[in-house]
Amino acid sequence: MSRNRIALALIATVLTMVAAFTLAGPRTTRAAPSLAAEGKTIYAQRCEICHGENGDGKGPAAEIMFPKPRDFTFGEFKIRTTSSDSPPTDGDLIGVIGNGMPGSTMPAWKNVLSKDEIAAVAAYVKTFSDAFGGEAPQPIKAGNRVKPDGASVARGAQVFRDVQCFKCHGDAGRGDGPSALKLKDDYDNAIFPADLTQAWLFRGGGTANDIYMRIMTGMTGSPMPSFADALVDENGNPDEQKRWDLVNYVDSLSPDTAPEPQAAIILKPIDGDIPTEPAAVQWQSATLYYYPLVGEIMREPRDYTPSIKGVWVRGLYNSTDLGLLVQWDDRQQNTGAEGQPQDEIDVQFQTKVPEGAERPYFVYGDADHPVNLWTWTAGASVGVEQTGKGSDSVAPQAAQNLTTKSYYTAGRYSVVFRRSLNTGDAEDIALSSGVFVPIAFAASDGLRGETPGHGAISSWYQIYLGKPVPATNYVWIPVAVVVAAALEALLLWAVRRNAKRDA
Amino acid sequence: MTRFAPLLRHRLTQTIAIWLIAFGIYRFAIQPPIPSSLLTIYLGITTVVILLWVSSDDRGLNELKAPLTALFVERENRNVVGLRWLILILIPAFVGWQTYLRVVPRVEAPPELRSIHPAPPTTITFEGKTIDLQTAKNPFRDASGKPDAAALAAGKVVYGTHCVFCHGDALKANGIFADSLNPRPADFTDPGTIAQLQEGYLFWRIAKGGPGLPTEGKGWNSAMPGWEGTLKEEEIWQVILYLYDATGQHPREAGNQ
Ligand code: HEC
Ligand code: HEC
Ligand code: HEC
Repeated sequence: MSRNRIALALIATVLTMVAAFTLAGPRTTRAAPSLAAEGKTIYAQRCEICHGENGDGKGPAAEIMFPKPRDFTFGEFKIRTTSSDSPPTDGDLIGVIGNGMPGSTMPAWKNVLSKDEIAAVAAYVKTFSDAFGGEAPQPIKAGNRVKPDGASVARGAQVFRDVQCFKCHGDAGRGDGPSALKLKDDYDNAIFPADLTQAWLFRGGGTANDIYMRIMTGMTGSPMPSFADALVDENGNPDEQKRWDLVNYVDSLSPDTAPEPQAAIILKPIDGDIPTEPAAVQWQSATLYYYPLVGEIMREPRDYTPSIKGVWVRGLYNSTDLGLLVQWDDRQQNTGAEGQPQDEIDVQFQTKVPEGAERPYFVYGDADHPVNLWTWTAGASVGVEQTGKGSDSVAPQAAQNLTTKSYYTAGRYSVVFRRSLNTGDAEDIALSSGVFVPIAFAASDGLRGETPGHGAISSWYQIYLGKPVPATNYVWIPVAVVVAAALEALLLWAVRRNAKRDA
Repeated sequence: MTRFAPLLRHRLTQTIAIWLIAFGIYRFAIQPPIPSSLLTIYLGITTVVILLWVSSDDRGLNELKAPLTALFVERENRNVVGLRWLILILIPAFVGWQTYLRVVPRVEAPPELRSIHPAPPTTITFEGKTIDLQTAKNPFRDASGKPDAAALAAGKVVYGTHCVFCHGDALKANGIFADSLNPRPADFTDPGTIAQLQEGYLFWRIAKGGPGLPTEGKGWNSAMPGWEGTLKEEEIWQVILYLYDATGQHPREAGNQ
């Protein structure tokens, strides 16, 4: 009886194992095609709109994009850890699909698709070209990072000049080098060298490791070459010190993530004059604020791909004047000659200090709520006060009260705007300390054919002239400390006296 | 346990424990949270009551006083003397710091509150045609509410060519402009957006954008474009189909508002 049972159990176990093996066998061999088939469904749902049904980068949404969605039939990929003539590894593809390509419309899919789904769609992307036919590509090996101290960064700056990165990326890395404006990618689209001071817009990420890989492997399909052959020692072996010095230098030019825009620009009063020179040292003492800009796509014609991504602002004020130093990166100075529009920057204020919550429309105001614009154009290189009552009705004011001074160096504009706090002009914002005043920024780049109102713009933020703290306020601090110490001394004395008496 | 019993019975331990429990209750258990000024008053009263209670008999008073007296009188034990100096210095420093915070006030921008779904108008004029938002029906749904397949495909293209920069490919407010906008674009996968609304409401929002919002919606700050003049009436209905289909949400039924 019991022997029968054991036999039965044995047979059952053997049968289950055989069944498991036969079922599992075919599944492993069929894995690759079914992975790609599963990817096809995801691709149709998520990627086709940009990359096109046939993977040729001609999806319906491609038209308004710059850079264009990738044409996968070329088999060219920018974000690789493999040498410049080989395709990316599966890990590279999965990584770039998951993280997206910042600064382009290629979205990060890692919070939308599961790991398996990303692997599947990556497998499907590989089927569009025969670049992946050969052996599995091998990642290159990076040596240990050299400590990113001042000496390494200084050596890296020299390497940057020696191997001529500046030809494309410019002396200060702002993507404004002598060849910057003439570049085309393999698909015959214009392409600009990255602005190395804005690493959060790097397609492949802004960490030191990311930068190492982009420089050593190049970005296939774009003019960004591989420098693996240039950064070698006299025997032709990889010179890891030189490589990492260069990486440390590039990494030092920018934080990895975008600066957080603050809700308000908060200024402290100063005693002396407001400097008019953008290079004046006083500006260094003012807090630096960053505001990102988006394309003006609120109405036709819409600018989906503005070239100016953000402005940096510093402010100073004294008892009579307000000064703002506004800086932004622009690859070329366009003064309106050569048939291109001129570069322009606008600082927008709500004309009246807001009483209720109501505000002007952030795109140059509206009929009922005008805005006061401080406009600087590169052609005349002077600032003009304007009144905006909507994007189609912006006009210079009769009374002009603005002083500006500007310069352009190494791919960056710096403009100082200075105006008295209260001009007495009803069309001007009257500024006084202790109130929040709405402020916004707009910029247009003539190089890309942008015109005022069809460039880049920010939402409303606020500016606040801090009330000076009366010197007498500070007196309370030592007073409070002394009183606290005196009370302590009293307590100490009382406790000790009691203790002595008790003893 | 027995080792801790004397400690637990000690009046100083009890005082501290009761005080901490009271603080915990005031701070975390009361909902909605009470303002900090009120919290200070409550804690002040509690402190006085606890002190009165412990010091109401000699034992309590002595137990409370003894450690403090020891701390203030001790001359031999280096640690206790060190602790005394630390406390003597920290208290005035703390008082000075608190005074500094009060005499030099910090400024913070007032928060921008907006009503996300203000009441819509009853009718709107779209390209010269009056549309009643209460009764407007999506012409591309059949009687059972099923979307027309061709219209849905067309809606996806409208979305990809007009909405993707802000609302993002995954309809999760993840477009490249999204992080730079305040308020952020609507996240259509969030049950708090389109699932709360009728299709007529969406038609109004898409046609008129931020500038079409009433005052409480604070449309002057909204980057949501008005699409009248760019998109045709059918295209707006088509993109609405796509918003619901792609997110798996359903429009709110009419008369259910
Ligand atoms: C909104 C448009 C859009 C969508 C949707 C989109 N992409 Fe992209 N994708 C782009 C753009 C634009 C680029 C090129 C960016 C560049 O070259 O700077 C790109 C590039 C790529 C690359 C090339 C990476 C490299 O290393 O060069 C891959 C791979 C890719 N996309 C995969 C996908 C997959 C998979 C999906 C769907 C899950 C998808 N994309 C959806 C716009 C899109
Ligand atoms: C022939 C012009 C050219 C030269 C020379 C050049 N670059 Fe580039 N670089 C580019 C272009 C174009 C891009 C943008 C590629 C893109 O967006 O697809 C780029 C992008 C980059 C990026 C951004 C990578 C990313 O993830 O987006 C870095 C970092 C960079 N280059 C560093 C360097 C360094 C360092 C050197 C010198 C060793 C150098 N480049 C030399 C043209 C050049
Ligand atoms: C320039 C950026 C931008 C573009 C482009 C854009 N939107 Fe919006 N959208 C917003 C913002 C910001 C909001 C949130 C503020 C508001 O409600 O006005 C919003 C809100 C909405 C809402 C309201 C959702 C709710 O719950 O109240 C709908 C519906 C909508 N958008 C649909 C669309 C459609 C459809 C398109 C394309 C035809 C589009 N949007 C294009 C920025 C944009």
